[in-house]
Amino acid sequence: MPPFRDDHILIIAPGSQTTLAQLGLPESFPPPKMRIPSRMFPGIEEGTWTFTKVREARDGEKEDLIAQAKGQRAAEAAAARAASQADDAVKDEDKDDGEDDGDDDDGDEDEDMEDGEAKDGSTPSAPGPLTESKDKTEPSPKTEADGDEDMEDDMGEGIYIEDEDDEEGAVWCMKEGRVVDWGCFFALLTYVHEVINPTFHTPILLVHPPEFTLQDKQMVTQFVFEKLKTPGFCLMDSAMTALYAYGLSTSTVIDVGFEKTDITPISDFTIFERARKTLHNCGGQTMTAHLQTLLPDLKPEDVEALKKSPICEILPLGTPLPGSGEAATVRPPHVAATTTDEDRDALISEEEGTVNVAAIVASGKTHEFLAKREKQRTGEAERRLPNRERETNTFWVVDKRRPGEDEDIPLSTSALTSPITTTAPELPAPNAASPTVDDEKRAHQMALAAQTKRGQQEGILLSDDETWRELSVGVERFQAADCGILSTIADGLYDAISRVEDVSKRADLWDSLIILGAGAKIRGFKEALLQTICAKYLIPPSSGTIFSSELPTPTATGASTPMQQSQGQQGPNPLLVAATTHGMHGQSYAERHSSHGQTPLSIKTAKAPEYFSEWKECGFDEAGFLGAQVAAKVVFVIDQGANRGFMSRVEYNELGPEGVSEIF
Amino acid sequence: MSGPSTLPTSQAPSALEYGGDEISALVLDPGQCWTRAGFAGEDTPKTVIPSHYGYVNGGDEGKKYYFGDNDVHALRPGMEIANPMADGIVADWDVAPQLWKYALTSRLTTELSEHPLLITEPVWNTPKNREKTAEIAFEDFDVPAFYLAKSAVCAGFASGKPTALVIDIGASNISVTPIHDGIVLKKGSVRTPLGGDFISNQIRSHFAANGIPLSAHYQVQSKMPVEVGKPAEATLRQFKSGEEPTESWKAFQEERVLTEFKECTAQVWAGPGPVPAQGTEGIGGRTFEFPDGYNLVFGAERFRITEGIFAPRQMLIHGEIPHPDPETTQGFGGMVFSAVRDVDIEIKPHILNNTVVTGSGSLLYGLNDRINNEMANVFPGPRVRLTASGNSTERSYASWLGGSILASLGSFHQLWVSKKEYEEHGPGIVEKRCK
Repeated sequence: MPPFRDDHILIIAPGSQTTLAQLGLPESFPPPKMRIPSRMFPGIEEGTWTFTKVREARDGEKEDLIAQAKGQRAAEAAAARAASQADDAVKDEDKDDGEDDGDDDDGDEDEDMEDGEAKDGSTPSAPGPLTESKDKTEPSPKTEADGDEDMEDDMGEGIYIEDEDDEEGAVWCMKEGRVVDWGCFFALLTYVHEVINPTFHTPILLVHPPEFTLQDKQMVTQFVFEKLKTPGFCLMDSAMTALYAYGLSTSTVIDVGFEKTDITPISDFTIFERARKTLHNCGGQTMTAHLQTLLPDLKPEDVEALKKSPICEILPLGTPLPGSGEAATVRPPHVAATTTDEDRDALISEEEGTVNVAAIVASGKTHEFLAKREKQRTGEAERRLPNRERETNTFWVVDKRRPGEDEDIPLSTSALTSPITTTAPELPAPNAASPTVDDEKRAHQMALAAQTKRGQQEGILLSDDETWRELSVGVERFQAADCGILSTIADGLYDAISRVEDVSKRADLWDSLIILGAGAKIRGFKEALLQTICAKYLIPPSSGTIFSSELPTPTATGASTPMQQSQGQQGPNPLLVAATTHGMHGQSYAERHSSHGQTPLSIKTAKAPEYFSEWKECGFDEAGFLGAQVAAKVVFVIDQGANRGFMSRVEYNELGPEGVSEIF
Repeated sequence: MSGPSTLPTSQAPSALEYGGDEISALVLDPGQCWTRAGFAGEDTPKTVIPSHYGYVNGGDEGKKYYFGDNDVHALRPGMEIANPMADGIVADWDVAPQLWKYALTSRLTTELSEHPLLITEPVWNTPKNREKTAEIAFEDFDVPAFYLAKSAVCAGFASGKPTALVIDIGASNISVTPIHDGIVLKKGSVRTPLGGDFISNQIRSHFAANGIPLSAHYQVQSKMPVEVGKPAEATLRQFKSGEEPTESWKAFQEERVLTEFKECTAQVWAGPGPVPAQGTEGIGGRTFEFPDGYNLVFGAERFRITEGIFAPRQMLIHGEIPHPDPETTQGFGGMVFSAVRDVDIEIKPHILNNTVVTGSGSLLYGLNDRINNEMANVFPGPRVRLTASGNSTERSYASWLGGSILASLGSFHQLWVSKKEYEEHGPGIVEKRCK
């Protein structure tokens, strides 16, 4: 077998919410390139699955489609023929749907799609119910490719459309790390494989959640070898990949997921299977649900957006919420006092009564202008304060514009009651523009442009059919973790490490915690978690023994023989260390009673890996995927199977799926 | 892993040829404190859950049961904790099968009917219990094949010794079992209720007698460092009325702190001889911090706590805390002596030379040295050699590991009791086949 190459390696990491995938290992490992929701829709035929929902056209859409189809039939016939393989066309279409409609390189398909969109967009009077009108519809490639002739026969029946926005009826193949629908799961793997469409000489590394049982692993192995026809396959536990990312051999991995948290103590690359723990109802979703109960006025998608926005933050323990007592008075006075030149500019233009939008946009200072204006309007210098000192703050919600809705409707405010107030994006408002129709139109375009620009500066990329609005929220944004999630994880961590039978290994496990997972992305989560753990479990050096270092009693046999390494070669004098380090938590108390003493005497998080510049920017919450790349490189390229890091086709033929237990 | 090559591939293996090299057999080792389960051929059990379970008395639906680490330790109003095992054997046949099923299906497999099942049992298991176990396996779990193995024999196998004196220090008992060529010498097998639970109660007695408050982690929200012996300054969790945990749950949570105490602070006097009554002041103290931050230095006390194993008359007794009768309970030395006394003189040296110490209780710091001394005391003549795995995992799960080795041996094929045989002969077949 020829050796595997970096650019041929396929990594798939299925999760209960998002499935990550990537083909090839670039020089510097990037964040995952492909990111799709872990769900599929049941296809029209029993047992088939599609990534985009395919549903029967409803009454309103039917006529449109038929009319459209008739007009295009001639062109389509040619197109269908041109697309020699109908199946491939479907796949390509699927792929493009998953990403972006804009950069479709399949000319024929693209045309159809855009036509479809245009058609839908220009028929706001579509008589269907509300849910329907919001769907962006397009003719299904299926109907086009093989339903061409059918169209003649049964006009208006059996017309299916692909509905990108409709999530209804979606089957999420995994829940809390366990596959609930294997058909769907395999369809998802197939879909990922088809979209990426790797060469035949592509080994696959699949990162599986800790909950996978031996049986599950066997099924996946069988599927990958027999359906995806890979020459080499490696299954790796998601906790283990985190270890690869951090370059450690011993660690406790805390993976905060969507609905669960996994805690996995690993020592010398060996997972303590019995000690590892899964905490159910303890993840990102738990916090979203809690926020929702705090903010009953917000729509679920708004809450989700709030949680993902940078203003949703978890304050260090004991920090008073802004606006509660003394915290509110702490407000640097100089901020309010300063007025910059730009401020004056903004003021001037305000005083003039009209806003020369074009000039502002042209000057490229739109953002500054908008910011100043906003500041002006709220009349508070508070905006300059860090998030944690402000009573209220704003965040963005990106909405899909629904076809049929007037373009500027989403720009206006939506009615929300206290404590949330909605501010429309700061646009050079229409009232400032002159009343002529022409100007109004121009102003509107300007407004859109300005909005987009600002959005970009805020880091929001909008596609054509999206708008955003700004919502403001009170101190609830600091309370996402008040649902007890932190203490649940802390307790779980303690339980897990206590279950490690080898008492002497516990100290090391406490000393290198890796906190990752999408649920841990909220600002301040990791710090607050670490604090919670320390507050409850850290054992401070006792005044009883700090000055009397006990020597281990040598014993003849057995595990109770203390490990020598923790004595003597501990480095500097423990007392010296204790005296010179002043960190509040995570302080290195080198003092140890002896190897079987009580733990934890110190709790520390592992140091994030340094070499991966692209990951530094986006944070190490998905470090598991980074680790998967490192692992793939080691297993497939460097090791080349010398240590049986993966299962080759030959081995599979020999051992069958049962070989899983031997290799992974 | 390659299958038997003598068989033509077209021919299905006979019904008896289950398991074998293939890693499809399941091994279940139900103990007093932990229930261990995993696939045969692996070196450690994949699933280890507490044998304790939680239950809430519901209205119409009857009791609702909770199994497994997360659920048992979760704080639920009204949840009581109980244990289906007593004295190391099953006492509650309503719950035990559910517990086993949870252990087997939570992380291992969903299809019990596809895997042969090996269950371990202590030597003192009753015939009725054995039949019941087979009945559960075949009728409730619908396994294709089943075997009941003696845990002491398995522990011997785990150390690679078919002939041995197995000293198993479990939660409920310390048992001493001579085995010869994989067969238990029933006459010599003895046990005494001085296991891990006894030590826990000794610690409780010590705390109660000295007014040391025992807190548990569930009570504490955060703690502050305090000087030795000073009252704790912790933020405690407040419970709404009606949501307080039950007494049995509290005791179960306290037990976890006691476990930590046993692991980190308690120690066995190495000997020779018992802990001296006087002159122990100079012994190095060891600090133990309770969950609420209260901490104390334990000196000679931590040896006295464990001394009851060897000298039951010295056991600490306080108030209501249960304890075995100090007068009639046999201490460790006496027990080993009576176990070996009846063994054939010819194999006696062989057995003593292969003394295996196992069980989580044997991880008590310093216990091995003391056992060595005690054995030398009881058997001054013959050479006694102690084998205790240095790997604490192996020691805790020796019985399971032996079962795993046994079930994965090629020669074990013929020992499985198949479903067909069970249907023919009824549960009584276990007495005949699983010796």
